[in-house]
Amino acid sequence: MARLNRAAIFVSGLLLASTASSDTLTPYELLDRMNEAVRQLDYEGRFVVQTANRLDAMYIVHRVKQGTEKERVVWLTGQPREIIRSDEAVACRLPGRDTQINVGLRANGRSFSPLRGVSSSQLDASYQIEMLEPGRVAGRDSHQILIRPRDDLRYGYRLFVDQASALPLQSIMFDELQQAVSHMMFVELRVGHAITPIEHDLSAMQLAKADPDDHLSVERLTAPGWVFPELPPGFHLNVHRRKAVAGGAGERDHFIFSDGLATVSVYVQRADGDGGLSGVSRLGAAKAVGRRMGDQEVIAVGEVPTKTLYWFTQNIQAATR
Amino acid sequence: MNDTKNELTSALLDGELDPGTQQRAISAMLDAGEQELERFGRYRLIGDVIRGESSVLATSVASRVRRSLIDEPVVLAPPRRQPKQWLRPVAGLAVAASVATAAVFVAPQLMTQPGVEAESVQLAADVRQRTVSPVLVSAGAAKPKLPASREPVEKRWEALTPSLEDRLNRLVVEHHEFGGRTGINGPVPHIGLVSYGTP
Repeated sequence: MARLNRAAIFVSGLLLASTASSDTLTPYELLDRMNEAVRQLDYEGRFVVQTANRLDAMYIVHRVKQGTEKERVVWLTGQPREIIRSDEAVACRLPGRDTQINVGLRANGRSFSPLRGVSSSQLDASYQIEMLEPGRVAGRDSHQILIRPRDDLRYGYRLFVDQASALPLQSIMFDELQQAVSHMMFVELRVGHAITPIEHDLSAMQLAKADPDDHLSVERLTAPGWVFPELPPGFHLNVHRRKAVAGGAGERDHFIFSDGLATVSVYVQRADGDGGLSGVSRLGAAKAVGRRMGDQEVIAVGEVPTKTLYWFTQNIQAATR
Repeated sequence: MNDTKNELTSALLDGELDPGTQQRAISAMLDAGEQELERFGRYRLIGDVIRGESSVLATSVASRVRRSLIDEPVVLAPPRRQPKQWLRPVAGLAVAASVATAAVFVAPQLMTQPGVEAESVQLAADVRQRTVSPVLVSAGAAKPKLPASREPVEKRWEALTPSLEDRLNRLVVEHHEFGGRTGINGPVPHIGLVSYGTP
């Protein structure tokens, strides 16, 4: 209940007092408000996403009911794809696949932000952040923030954040050569009460059930079997999960590192019979780097430069017990 | 005069100009007209093809360059020399073989008509394989072990075996779900799956 009250206070404050205080916002406060807004506000809209030479249009509806997020994202172009989030799981329906991907949500059902784990001075060590001239996106006035990386281990961002709701209206992620890696922009956005009640779409919501595999035990308290002697500057370990792999194929360690904005996952598990991932592969703005270590496979995933993923896969070793 | 212009173009492409000079150079180029834009486009296209980055299939280089310059974000990251250092020896080679390179790689693309794009895409992919792969051989010498500064060859998700592809899809979804949502890339992290499948 206390959590609900805090959320209600936050949302009310965000919607009612945002304009009055917008002139005095620092970029850090704005980032903080943005990453709260994407998880705690009700909103619905259409946006476009460009990665490499591909342009897609998408629809999103996001609602928070009794402290739990519900969400539906539908691709409006190309082969049908859909993401549905219920209070139990997130389901991804991808083309050309017989089964969808279902990922059970964490026990407390609450999504978090890696930004909460870092101070502005820590963020300053990795990025140079400044406010630029206000802009206008999807017919809404927006703040503009430029986030420039201080090295080539992470990408930069140019953000347009809605002045009224603090939702991200436009985001350009760019690499060290100043080339856009991905570009997202809302063309239409509604916030607050007048959005579609997603709960009415029962057929969609019923897809988001936890996979039976997700009920397999997760050891939270045992020490990781792997260590990273040297992390890329600015990155720190946010989360370590250990999860049983379906079919009795052992366990998978999942390490999540972040510098506050960029996030990298490192997975370690017994090598599969499919040959494993060797080298680099990518999907949209996400990249994956794989490496075999004896009978183990290490895979690093993230929306960061390839060299950062290599850093993680090359600097992991078995923990001495 | 031409040497100065060439040096300025080269510096612009290499990201060596300060923001003010960069803005003035771009403005001058836009003002100079189609011929100047064609010249800049050819320089850039040669560099892109050599690096294996080109999927450029525009029939008019000038119009594409004009469009990209106008659409270029006003402020982006400051120019960084380090990532481009690998380009120097390659660029030298490119100059020495510029005529042949232009004839082999640029001319077909300039002459490409709508509807015959597939062949050009394949050409760019082949160049990527030949020019970038050797860089990987030198990877991992320094501590921490990293590949050379050039990004290695990337395989698209779709090129993997179905089993591995399914596994990676799940890892990416878990990464997005448990890695946390900041809004920095948009309202929902899973839009990273945007390029899945074919349009």
